[in-house]
Amino acid sequence: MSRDHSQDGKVMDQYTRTVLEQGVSRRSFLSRTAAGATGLGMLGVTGCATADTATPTGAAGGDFGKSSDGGASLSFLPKPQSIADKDIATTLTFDVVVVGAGAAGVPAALSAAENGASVAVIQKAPFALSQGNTGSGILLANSDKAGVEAMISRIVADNCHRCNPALVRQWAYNSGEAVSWVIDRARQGGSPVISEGNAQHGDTLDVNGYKLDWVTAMFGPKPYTNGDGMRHLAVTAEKAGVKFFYNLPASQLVQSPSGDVQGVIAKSRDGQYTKFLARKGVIMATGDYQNNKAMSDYFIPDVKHMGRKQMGKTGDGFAMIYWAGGVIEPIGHTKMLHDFDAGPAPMCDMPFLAVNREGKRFVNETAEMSVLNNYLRDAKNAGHYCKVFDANYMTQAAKWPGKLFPPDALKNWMPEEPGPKKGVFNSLVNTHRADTLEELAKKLELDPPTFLATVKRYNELVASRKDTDFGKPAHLLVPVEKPPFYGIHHTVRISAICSGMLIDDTHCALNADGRPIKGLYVIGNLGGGFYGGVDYPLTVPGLSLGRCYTFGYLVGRQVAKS
Amino acid sequence: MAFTLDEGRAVDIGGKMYKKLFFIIALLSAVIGGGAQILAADATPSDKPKVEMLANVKPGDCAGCHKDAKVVPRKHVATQDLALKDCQGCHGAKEGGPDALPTTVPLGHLHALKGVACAQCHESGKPAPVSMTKCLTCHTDTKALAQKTATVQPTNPHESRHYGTEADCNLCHHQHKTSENLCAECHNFKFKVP
Repeated sequence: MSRDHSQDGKVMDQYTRTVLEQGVSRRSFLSRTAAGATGLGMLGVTGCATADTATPTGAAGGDFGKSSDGGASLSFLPKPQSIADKDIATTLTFDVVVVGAGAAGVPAALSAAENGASVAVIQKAPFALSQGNTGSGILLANSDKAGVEAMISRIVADNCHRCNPALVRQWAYNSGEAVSWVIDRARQGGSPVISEGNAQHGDTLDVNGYKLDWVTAMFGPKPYTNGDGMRHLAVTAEKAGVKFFYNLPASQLVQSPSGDVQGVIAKSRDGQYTKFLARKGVIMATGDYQNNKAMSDYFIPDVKHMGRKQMGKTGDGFAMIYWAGGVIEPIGHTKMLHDFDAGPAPMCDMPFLAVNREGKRFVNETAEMSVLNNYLRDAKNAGHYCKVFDANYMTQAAKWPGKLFPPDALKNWMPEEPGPKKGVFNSLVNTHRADTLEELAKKLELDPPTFLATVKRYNELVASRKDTDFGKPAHLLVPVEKPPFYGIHHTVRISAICSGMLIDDTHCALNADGRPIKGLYVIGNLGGGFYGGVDYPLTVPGLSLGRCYTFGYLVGRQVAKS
Repeated sequence: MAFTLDEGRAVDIGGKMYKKLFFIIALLSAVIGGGAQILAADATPSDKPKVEMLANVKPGDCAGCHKDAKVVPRKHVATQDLALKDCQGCHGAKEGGPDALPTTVPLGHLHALKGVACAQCHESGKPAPVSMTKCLTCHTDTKALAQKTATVQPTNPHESRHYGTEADCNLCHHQHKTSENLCAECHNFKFKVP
């Protein structure tokens, strides 16, 4: 079968071409399982079976299964059942239908409504949901254009040069406007969101000698988060006419015979189907799939043993778009594993002695928290590690990156300390103080003899001024010897998986031919192309939410005006 | 017609930890009008003890399903004819304590002792998962349920930032294996989950 990968005369970019060649779509799955089966001699004597006649088996396909109609399928992407019109209880028609009320979906709905569209939002949960606190954008008026381009280049580099630069550029040149808009509209809905400006962007006010100016939506402090923020934004959206349908998971897309997407069918808890028809387009914003174990093990086996921060993120949108002809980015998805809760967030990257769950040193501690998950992927460690320091930390680490919190302030993160805490989730704080290293080991759930041996060895390296075990710079070697001792027991868990469906720069989903699936748009973590590295980059605080707001803002407006 | 239900996990009864058990429930033709049948396990590992859970056995008749396995303490009163309210005469005093029934007996047993027949939940007659809407036919609506646990510390287990009051009951409450405190995967909430 010949494939025309051209997009109506456009020259296809490297990213899109690669995803078309290596991503997972109905067609690529069929052809690859056929090839695999042929290799194993499982296709019968002719050896020239077409993709359509291939019969994937457990042996040939691993996690692949067969759908109930006999067609091949990935087991975690179940083929939608055919729903007859007589089984549809209600049919509703809007200009724009948004699936998912999160950091991308709510802005998209409001943006579409402000641009004249009638809008429905279908949400599986009983309210809008999102996580995190910070969303950032670049204010172009006070930034050098060279700085914007330098920022784009840095993000592309931090994505291991594997993303679609056009999408990063789109964020860079539109995020200032979008984030400012989110702040304003969330306030109208009653949100106490803080417009932080450049406060969190000390490292990126100057990029390669060029100036940048930031706008930062800070939905906080905790326990107020972006979830509360999106619920406040949804208040504004409702005032603007957006209809929200909660507790109503979407189950499949409605397509014309030629494949254009015309709407969505949703199924309520009691089994009733509602068909939402969209005159102008369906915007999918259902988030990632971290709670779909089979899918997660397949696309990102690195996180098999890692805890999940979110719930109910089962990749519904992936299955729906896959069966509508879309393409999932190739195996090796980008992951985001953080812990900003156990101790003060500004101390999380400080290169104090770090030990794994065995109580052993495992890394040159200059490695940032955002990549430590790679050392802790096994079932025992499962993302756990402890940062350890002694009574002299305020002076010895005074010049380190980040911001130190003095002993009295650290109490806010100590579960043993009585009294109310501020700006934290009480159930997630995990910082400890002890008068002896043995006692600290117990509080950190470490084996005391192993931990003591590690500290002894570390102090010897410090005394020698040479880290002959991991090569950490000498000026970052400080001893752990003076009581009281402190430890922060971190557990990095999955905040998000941020790889998704192949889209073009209008966020329209592409099929396996590289052609747009008309009427189907994808934003938020369900959308691919923006990242691509092993780990989400912490280049810009608030990049993830900033991207979600920006693409929601742009795509809502674009579809409304189409 | 055979039911193969979830693997039973270790159940702490009267301070004793018993081995893992497999529960196999048979919806009997007795329920639908025929005589009792015992049906074989479906693909259960052979090295695990099997328990055939029978719908025509009185809920309090431990030996009816567990045979010779000691699932209640040696000096326990005869359970043969007990219903849930009888059990609660002794076990109800310290809710959540070591003697409280909800933390010692699988929830499916409590439902049976309360008089809920297998087919009231598994109405299809097949070993299918039971949806949350089925739970709500008896347990009223979710908001009312959350009200009942509004004072539980440190937080209401039935109202969260993740799901509001709409978390699927089955996430934590299991009928045929030990229930779980799903919150504890991340939070230090020490809930005892019936």
